[in-house]
Amino acid sequence: MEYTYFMGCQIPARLNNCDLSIRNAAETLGIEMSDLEGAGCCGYPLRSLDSKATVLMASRNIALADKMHRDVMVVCNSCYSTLTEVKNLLKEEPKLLEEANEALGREGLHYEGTTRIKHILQVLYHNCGINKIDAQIKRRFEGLNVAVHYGCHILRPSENLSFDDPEIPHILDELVEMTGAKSVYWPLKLWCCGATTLPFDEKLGMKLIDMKLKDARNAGAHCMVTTCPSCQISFDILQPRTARIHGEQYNIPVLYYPQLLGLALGLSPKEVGLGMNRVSAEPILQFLRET
Amino acid sequence: MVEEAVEASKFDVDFKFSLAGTREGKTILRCFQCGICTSGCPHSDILDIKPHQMAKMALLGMKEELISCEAIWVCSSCFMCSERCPQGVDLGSVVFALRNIAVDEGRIPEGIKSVGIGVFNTGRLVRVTSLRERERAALGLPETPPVDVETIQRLLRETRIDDLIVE
Repeated sequence: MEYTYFMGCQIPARLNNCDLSIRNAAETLGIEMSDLEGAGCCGYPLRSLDSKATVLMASRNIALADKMHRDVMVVCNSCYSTLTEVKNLLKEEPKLLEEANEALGREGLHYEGTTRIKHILQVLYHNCGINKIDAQIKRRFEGLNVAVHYGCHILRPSENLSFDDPEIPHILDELVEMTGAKSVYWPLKLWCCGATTLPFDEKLGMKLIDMKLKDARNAGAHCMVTTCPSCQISFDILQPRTARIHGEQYNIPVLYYPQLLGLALGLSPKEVGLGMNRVSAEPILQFLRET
Repeated sequence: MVEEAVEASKFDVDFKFSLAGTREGKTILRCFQCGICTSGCPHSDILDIKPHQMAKMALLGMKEELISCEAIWVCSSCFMCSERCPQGVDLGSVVFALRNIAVDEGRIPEGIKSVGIGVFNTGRLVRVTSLRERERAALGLPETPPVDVETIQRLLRETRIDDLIVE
């Protein structure tokens, strides 16, 4: 299995721990990845200013990927939705495709749209296959309660993304439970992490972070598992600040899914960058010591 | 909340058509005001204008109120409204159309503007600092592939991003 790896912006800028877990878990599973050279922002952050800018940025990234003749693996929900939606759009709107190719042509690029865009969860669930991964599990997290957080931009709008059931998703729950952990019910599971409101008003964005962390805690979760760097930043990196502002103590470790998977595959906490998470992952380490 | 009486003669009656003429706003005319968008919105408790009100105001032609409200920027683009709408209104995308129109009128919140300038200057949402690159090296991670900023800047010069860039 060979993929073009589209790292996105947030991972190298703030989440090297996540990158470490992705690359090490992938290696263990025999997934080969080569970084997409020259890639830029997927285009999503410009959508508020000009949706045409989003189309140009995304089509440029896809045009670069087309030259690699492999499927693209993305590790961020917004990169997934943007590249997927722009691909759909350029298929439906020949005039827009022409405009994009005219602009890209001046840069020596051509959009073919032959590359398939896959989120890492899809690669794991559909391409590796849950049974094959399950056979390689070395450690089971029996008794660990996980608040599974999908994030918005892999689920909705489902008509464009075709990722999972938008109201009762199961892919990440299954991948988490494969590790022996239990996915607990928490009422706000499908709600947004607040990240996209942060650039406009940090406090309003943090309101959602606070509500979700409290909800996860009330549901008896020992930790949260995310699948998008923006969600990871909200719940892990911004957790202490949100706690200060809201006068709360959540103490909920937040693992990016490849971190949990990596540990289950027998990688050490260091090999999945667990010590670099902002919120102490001590409850997880406790599990590892006891098993 | 919009509680005061509104003056109908001030409505821009063609606004709904120009909004429906945009790629992101094309589904707006289908709204029949059931309110399911507001019921599922995680921000509806704090929005100055609720999602179903945004749709109604767009249909009435209250352009000025819409492009100057906070709600279009507080929206976290979670697309719960779009997912659940029985009429196929993609309100999450309509909000992006409204933001683009607000940008045309020079109403750009500072935080949003700096995101645009940042992407223009670095080709990325966030710059990868030398500290992070050293951290990557120490972890045995490959260097972040360099971004072709010049190409990105030439592409963005053809969009509204160009207006944000002061030479």
